[in-house]
Amino acid sequence: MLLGFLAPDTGRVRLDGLAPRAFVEREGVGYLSELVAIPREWRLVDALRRYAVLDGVPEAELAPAVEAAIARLGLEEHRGKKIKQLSKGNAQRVALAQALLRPHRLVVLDEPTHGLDPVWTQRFRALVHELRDPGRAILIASHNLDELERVADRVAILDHGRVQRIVDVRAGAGAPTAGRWRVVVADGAAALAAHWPDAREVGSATWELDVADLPTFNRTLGAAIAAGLVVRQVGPAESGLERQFREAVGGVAP
Amino acid sequence: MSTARLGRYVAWQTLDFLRERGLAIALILSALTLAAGMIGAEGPEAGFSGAAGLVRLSRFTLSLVTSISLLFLVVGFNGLCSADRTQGFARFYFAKPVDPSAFYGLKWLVHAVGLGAIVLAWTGTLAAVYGPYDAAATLVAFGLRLMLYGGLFFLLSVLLSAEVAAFSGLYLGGELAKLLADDRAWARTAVTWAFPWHRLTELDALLEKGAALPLDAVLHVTGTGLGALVLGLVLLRRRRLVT
Repeated sequence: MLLGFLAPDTGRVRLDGLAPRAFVEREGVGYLSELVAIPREWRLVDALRRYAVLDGVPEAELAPAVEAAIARLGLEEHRGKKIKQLSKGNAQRVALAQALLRPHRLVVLDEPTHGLDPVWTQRFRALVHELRDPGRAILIASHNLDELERVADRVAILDHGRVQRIVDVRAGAGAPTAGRWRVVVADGAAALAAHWPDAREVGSATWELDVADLPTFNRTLGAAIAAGLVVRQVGPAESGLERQFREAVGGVAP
Repeated sequence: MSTARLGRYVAWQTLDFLRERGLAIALILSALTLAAGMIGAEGPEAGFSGAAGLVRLSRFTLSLVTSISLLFLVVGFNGLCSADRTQGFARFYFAKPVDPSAFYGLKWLVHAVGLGAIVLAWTGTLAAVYGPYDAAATLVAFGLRLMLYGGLFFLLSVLLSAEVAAFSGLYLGGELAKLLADDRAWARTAVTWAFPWHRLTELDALLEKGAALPLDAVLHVTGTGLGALVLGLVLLRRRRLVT
């Protein structure tokens, strides 16, 4: 709907005061769709040239823009390949490259890390960081809450087609200070059990316990460490965003 | 701005047309002509050489165009918009600052000019091989079909994803109406206004005789195609661009 591909059943969409198609046809949008559809017979470099032409990249800047996009997404070794020869992850990177051929005021990325390997998932975060600009809105649609918590400023939780809640991740509004926490024990689990009689072992050397507030939790943890507990890792059992999501959509606690 | 961008994109659209459709059409047309030439070579009565042969060549190209050019037009225009919509290619095209009507209007023009150029090159090659002959009727017959079927295919491609099936239904409907036209008024009306293929038959007969073409029949055929094309371009602004 933001790009005017579909019309809303009710209400209206406006971008900078314009109907979506008028906005898109005026300045374009950096768009990555969930379904990556690029003609399979096109060569990677030609695909980016075509999209750059349509995106209005001037002829003189076309080759540098395409080469920059290829380098930015690490596609140098695949540049001569046809789209059908690329893996899902590489095709996803081509799709991301075409969205970033030219700076846009609006960038819409639908499930951007879908199909990316861990290295490129991490690189994607850096890309989003590079794209951050006061004059640019970046909208990411994702089911990956961990990813969103790392890259987004605000997260709108949608359920049944409606915004259920908007979480301000920057303000730390989602960071839990109480609830269920998880402690990974390196040694001295008996000391942990002694200080938290209700603690449950949920995996190999991983314990879950209920935290009422952070000061009490820190004091008790300190006492347990003094009694011989060696901690490898400690943190909330679910992220603040996960908790907010569960609350917003009425899900059951893990 | 959009026009300039699309002007640059025409080169890619032309390349796509040649690779995906144009070469195949040119090859089939060449093969058919070669086959006819070889059959003709079996005896002087059937060949294309000499003054009588050039008359036969003129009739041969006209009959080939009137009988099978619909097949070339199906290959040339099928899926013009619907393929991008159903396969999802439209998503990236129209996230760019591109007007869909201009994009597909230009694509239609590339395909129409490409098909016309293939037929022109074909008649030109035959003239170079056998000598100058009258190809005007052939080119006019093809031009009429290009406008009529090209326009209808475009409209169907905007509206549906199975335009060949829809076109076949329309075509058969037109033929059925023609059969019933003597007895039923609605069929007469349908034949007169909705399905102008019968006008093509009239025009083909006149072209074969070398007679002048009535303007109303030419306008009926080309007007229907042009009207369908314009309607398709307008509907592109209103129809959803992706499925």
